[in-house]
Amino acid sequence: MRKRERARRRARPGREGVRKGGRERMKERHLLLCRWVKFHIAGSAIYPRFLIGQGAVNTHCGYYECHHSCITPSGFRQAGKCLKRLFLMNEIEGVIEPTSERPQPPNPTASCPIYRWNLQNKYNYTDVLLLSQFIRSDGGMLPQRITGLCAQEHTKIAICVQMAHRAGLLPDHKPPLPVGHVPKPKSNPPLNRYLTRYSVNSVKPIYKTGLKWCKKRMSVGHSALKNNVRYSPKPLYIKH
Amino acid sequence: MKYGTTFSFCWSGGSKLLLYHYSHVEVKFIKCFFKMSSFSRSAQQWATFARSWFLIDARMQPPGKIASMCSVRLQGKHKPIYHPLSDIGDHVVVMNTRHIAFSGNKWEQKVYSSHTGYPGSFKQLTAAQMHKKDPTAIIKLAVYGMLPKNLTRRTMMQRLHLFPDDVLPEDILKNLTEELPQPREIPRKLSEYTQEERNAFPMLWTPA
Repeated sequence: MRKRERARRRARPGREGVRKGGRERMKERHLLLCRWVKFHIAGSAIYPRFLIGQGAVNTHCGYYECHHSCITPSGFRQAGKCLKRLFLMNEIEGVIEPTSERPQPPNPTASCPIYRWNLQNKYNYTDVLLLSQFIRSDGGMLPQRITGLCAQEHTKIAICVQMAHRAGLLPDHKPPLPVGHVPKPKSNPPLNRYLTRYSVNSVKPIYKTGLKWCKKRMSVGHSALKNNVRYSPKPLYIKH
Repeated sequence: MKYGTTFSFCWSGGSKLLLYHYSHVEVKFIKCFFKMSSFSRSAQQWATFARSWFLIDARMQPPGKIASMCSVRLQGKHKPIYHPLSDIGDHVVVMNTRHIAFSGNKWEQKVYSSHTGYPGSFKQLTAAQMHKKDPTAIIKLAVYGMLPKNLTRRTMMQRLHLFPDDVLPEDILKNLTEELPQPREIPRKLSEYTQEERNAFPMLWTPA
């Protein structure tokens, strides 16, 4: 924590200078990352082992390509320092080539990834390919400052992820069991469910539903998704 | 009397069960593209008034939607010759009732109450408890509540056949004529997507 604070204070200009906000910095980094960067490394340059990601190629052939998809923030910082050193020592020359294979978002000037791809009000708990991009391997959500989501979309995605977990659509994103733990044989097979708003153990049965005008309804889905695009004439039915 | 222009014997629901049991007969998607008006009079009458047997697979389906489909066919409301007094309902066989899916938190919230009339015999069971006790009870009660509240209801319930799994007895399998499509589209799990589909989906954000 102290190292980060010191680095921040060093990077901070004086009170008269313009300080770049977190989002601006993120945008710049994003632009950097969108490019394929080829480095021609002369001689036997050091091969940074923490740059291993998809598409990383060994340096002995002379060219080094780096695909930034699976990198951690700290790994990228270290890689940047190493590359900077190589650059200053005139051992590498950078050739920036435009990306051809990655599809471009239709609205690149938005801050939230959902707005960048125009997916607001268009996703649901069933869109697992979208939701899996914002979750950890044990099923929890990634923080907002990492993903870049705005607050409302972050909550909506969290709600959809919860509903997807309860529907059993993310079977591989379960928290790891402690080592040597043998799960007990379950007496009841798990019940199939979908669009569950509340946690299964927290809900009480409705013993007295009441008369029609004051009936205690069972809620289905979530009201945060009420603005979703609907292609049928029937309105969204949340209170069953 | 014209009862539709085409008469189809079709395994239209894509039933693996029927294909498995009748594979030796080489059953595929059969649809007879001839008009019923080309039948002889006796054949036409038989085709109009015959009682068909429908099959519904209730796996991952909401029990209410299954029940409404059943009640429509048990009453005979899917036929243009419907009349409440003429007993023209069909048989409906529902399989995999053990694997129905309730939306929301209904497994915990929905309560089935019963009272035999004797004091102290008011029983209230949640849907989960009811399902554990009898896997066919939920759909049975749902269909019972959706049928018209008259004396024909009991005969219609006798024509409803519920099975908790996809094991059906031989005599019922022989009677089946049509499989109905499932009302709810089952969403795919993440493990069911191929690697190509996952790669084709664009990455919305990149780290750092």
